[in-house]
Amino acid sequence: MRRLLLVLLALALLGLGLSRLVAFRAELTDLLPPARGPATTFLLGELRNGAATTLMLAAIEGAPEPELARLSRDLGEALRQSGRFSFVGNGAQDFSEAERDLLFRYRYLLSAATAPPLFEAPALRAGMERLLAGLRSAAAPLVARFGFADPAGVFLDTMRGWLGESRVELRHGVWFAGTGQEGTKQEGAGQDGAGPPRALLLARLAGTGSDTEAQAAAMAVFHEAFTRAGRGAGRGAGPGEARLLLSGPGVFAAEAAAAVRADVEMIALLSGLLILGFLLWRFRSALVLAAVAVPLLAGMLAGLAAVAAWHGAVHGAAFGFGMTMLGVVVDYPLLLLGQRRPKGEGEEEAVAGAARRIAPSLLLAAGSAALGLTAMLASDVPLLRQLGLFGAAGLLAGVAVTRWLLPSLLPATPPPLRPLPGPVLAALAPLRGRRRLLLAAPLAGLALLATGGPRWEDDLARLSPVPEAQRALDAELRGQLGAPDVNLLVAFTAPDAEAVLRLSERIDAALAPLVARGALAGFDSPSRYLPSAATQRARQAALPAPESLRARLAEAAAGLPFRPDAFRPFLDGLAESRALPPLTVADLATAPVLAARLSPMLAPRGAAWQGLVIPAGVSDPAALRQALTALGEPAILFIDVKAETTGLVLAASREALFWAAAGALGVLALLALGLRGGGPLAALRRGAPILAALLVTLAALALLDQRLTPFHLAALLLSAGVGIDYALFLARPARDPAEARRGLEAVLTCAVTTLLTFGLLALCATPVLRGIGLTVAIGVTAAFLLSLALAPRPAR
Amino acid sequence: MNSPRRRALLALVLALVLPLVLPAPPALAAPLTLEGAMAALAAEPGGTASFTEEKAIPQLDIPLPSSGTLSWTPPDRLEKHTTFPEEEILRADGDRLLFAQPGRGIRRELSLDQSPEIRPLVESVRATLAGDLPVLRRYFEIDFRPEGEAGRWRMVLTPLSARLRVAVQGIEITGQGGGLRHVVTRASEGVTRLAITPRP
Repeated sequence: MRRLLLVLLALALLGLGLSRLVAFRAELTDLLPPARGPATTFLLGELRNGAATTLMLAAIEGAPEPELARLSRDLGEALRQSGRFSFVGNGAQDFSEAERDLLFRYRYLLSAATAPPLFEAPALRAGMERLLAGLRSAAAPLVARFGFADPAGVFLDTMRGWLGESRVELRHGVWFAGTGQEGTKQEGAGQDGAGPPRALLLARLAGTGSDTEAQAAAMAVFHEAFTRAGRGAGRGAGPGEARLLLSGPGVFAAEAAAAVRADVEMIALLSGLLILGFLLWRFRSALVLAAVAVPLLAGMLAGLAAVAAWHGAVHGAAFGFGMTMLGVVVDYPLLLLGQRRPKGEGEEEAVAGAARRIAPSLLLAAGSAALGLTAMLASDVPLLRQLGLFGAAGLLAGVAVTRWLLPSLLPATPPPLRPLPGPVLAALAPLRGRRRLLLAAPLAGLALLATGGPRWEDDLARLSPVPEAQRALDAELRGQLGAPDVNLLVAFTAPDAEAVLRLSERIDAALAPLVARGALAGFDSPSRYLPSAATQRARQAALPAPESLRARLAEAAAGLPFRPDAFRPFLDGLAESRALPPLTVADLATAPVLAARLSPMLAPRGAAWQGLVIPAGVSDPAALRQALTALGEPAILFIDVKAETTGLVLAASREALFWAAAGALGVLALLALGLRGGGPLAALRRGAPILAALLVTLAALALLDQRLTPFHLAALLLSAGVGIDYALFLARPARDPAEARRGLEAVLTCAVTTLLTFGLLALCATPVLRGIGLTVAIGVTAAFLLSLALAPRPAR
Repeated sequence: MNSPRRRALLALVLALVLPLVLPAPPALAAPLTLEGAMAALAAEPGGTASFTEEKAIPQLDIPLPSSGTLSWTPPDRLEKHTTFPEEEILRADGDRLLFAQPGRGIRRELSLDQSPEIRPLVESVRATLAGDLPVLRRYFEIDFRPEGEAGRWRMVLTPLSARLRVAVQGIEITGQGGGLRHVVTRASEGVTRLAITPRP
């Protein structure tokens, strides 16, 4: 009694400690096999630590617009000062004095407009007339500041081209989406205009995003800064009214873990209560019930600890899988207690004796189930490895605790079990030994053929346990911020940044005619922001000498009210531009806005540099591909993100199928070894109900229109592992009818508890958990009925 | 006692005594002060006036003229609608400043709170029209002088911010009672003279 309480206490403390220590992740790449080609290598690299992994999107809503704007400004300021972000955009930021000076100095080197015609009299004349109109306007101070040094307006045009890209509306000086005006609201139109007003922010983490801790810290900075901004409210709305909506990889990881945890907790509570009630009724002793929990807890902890120790962090999906699926460990103590020979049937058997007696079957069942899962350890999909390890470690720990620890925690002779209701047993009795039930297997095969076989899930997003609402918010914020998920990409690598920029310029030249033709709406490229040094030098060479320009200036200014020396800064600027060293990536430390624009598209990758060109509004992908192929540059990859990820997901599923089959073979082999004197034939006979149950389950899933994922396969393996218990224990020769009835009762109790968990799991919100629930519930029912059908008829 | 006679007597006494008891309208009494001018400005209900403007820019031989209307809606909406030589709208409304040139499809908006170099220039006219002395004093040193008869005054605003003083050396505003007449802005890129004519 005291030992039992101590053990339970120790397990609870261990669990608490583990859940604090273990880091959770939700990286999509964990669900995928390693890359097998340049396109997938690139894609996985991007998913793992590409530009998208460092981007955080945020919105503030739920207060009047001026208050939202104030919160956005305060939050943006606090984020910029935190030093954790390389860029924070909310519409309020502008070029700093230093950055503006730098870009102004380099105006003729950066602008694509720099060419000899720009410095001929007609172009100069047009620029002067534009300048004069600008000087008349209220914008005169700005115009006068730059116009006399740059009458062609090259600098302001360049700035406008860069900043004007943002499609986000500026209100109260910050980015806003949604009108919030009555009457303009449209149902379900969350993209632009409609909906409540929202101040939008966008932040790029400094460093790469694969660092889970940096992600979590960045989220904390966001929330803390927002709370502080809210507290400083004072005027207008109270601080509690506005809400911060956040999205990004770190948020995904946290939300995924939280969602899985919430589902697991809900299931644990509901099914826990149901199972508790059922078992309490059967065992008539709270003490025995508490003891039953020991192997269960030990199994779950062992699984979690094993994965955490081996992988460092546990994937949210593996956590959900492990915690719920290891519920089947409860079978082992149930079988032990159910098979004990109670008082009144010859001499009473102690628990330890029963444990010794059934140990071969128990260990064989658990061992083969664990073996089936262990096969997945050889997979190169990280999640499959985690799933295999979680399940195998949990099952083995559970059975070991049942066999060797549990007998010493229980009273030697606990009260006999309450028999199951007669009608239930009477209903099941005719099924025993009815081999014809096995016909279900060919029927299931036919159903599978008729439905075209199991369908595979190919959407990566649906494999992830990130809640639907969070993904929808992410898509909505992306739409509102004008940063939609890119589907087509042009990627290229080169030894250095200069070579990447030159390649980018060749792609620019190849794509420009396609834009003119309407094959694509436009594109963004690194060379648009930073031309290669070669191009900058070519532009320098095109700049006229100040002496030759003087005459043209006079000609252009004829009849205009400019004084003779008005354009002296222009001539000085040209002379300076001709002598400048080209601007390179290394010089951008003083140009944070430009660097932030450039960094997603131009970044070092290991020893090389990577460039990205992002086409938008592609209506003719074939023309795009052809134009790129025509460049004859093997370093340029044209990537269809959707097609590539779909291929990877299917590869992951195929791999899971392969390892599941390998696991099944291993199980059969172990059965053949374990069933002494039986050989392969006996193994096949014991395995037959399980194989049939697998077929039936696959057919049922196909009929239910479930798309199979690696999780389904892992669940199938586990339900097969559970089914082996049933097959082995129902096939045990019974000493007398009472023992045969006890065997059936014990197995039925296992099946009922499993169904109480997984039946509920099938109602879960997380698609992954729902899939597991359905698979196991169907698989276990089928395995129980078919095992019963193959069991020996009781001796009369 | 005859009541009509008594009432007439009372009226006479009141007519003689009341002016001594009640304060006189400020404009007519003591010499005009900054506070007095501000009070008069604040009492104005707002409305529309015509304006002409001339910008003298050092790099140009001749000043650049423009004209249009000014609309003032207390407490904080001021619109300068230029109609010649080209349509242009400059509107300060609360924290927002709108700049639009419909003919060129240009429309920009910014937050005054976020533009420390533009805000004082807007407030030099807007806070003056509103008679809001605390706001004026937040951005400027004020040199106020009454000028001659009929409630004329002149006020020179010097930016308190040294950074702004590099760009704008001073703003001189002249007015009469609660109305503005001239705004002369001396800036490094030139001198702008704005003349305001109230509409009948």
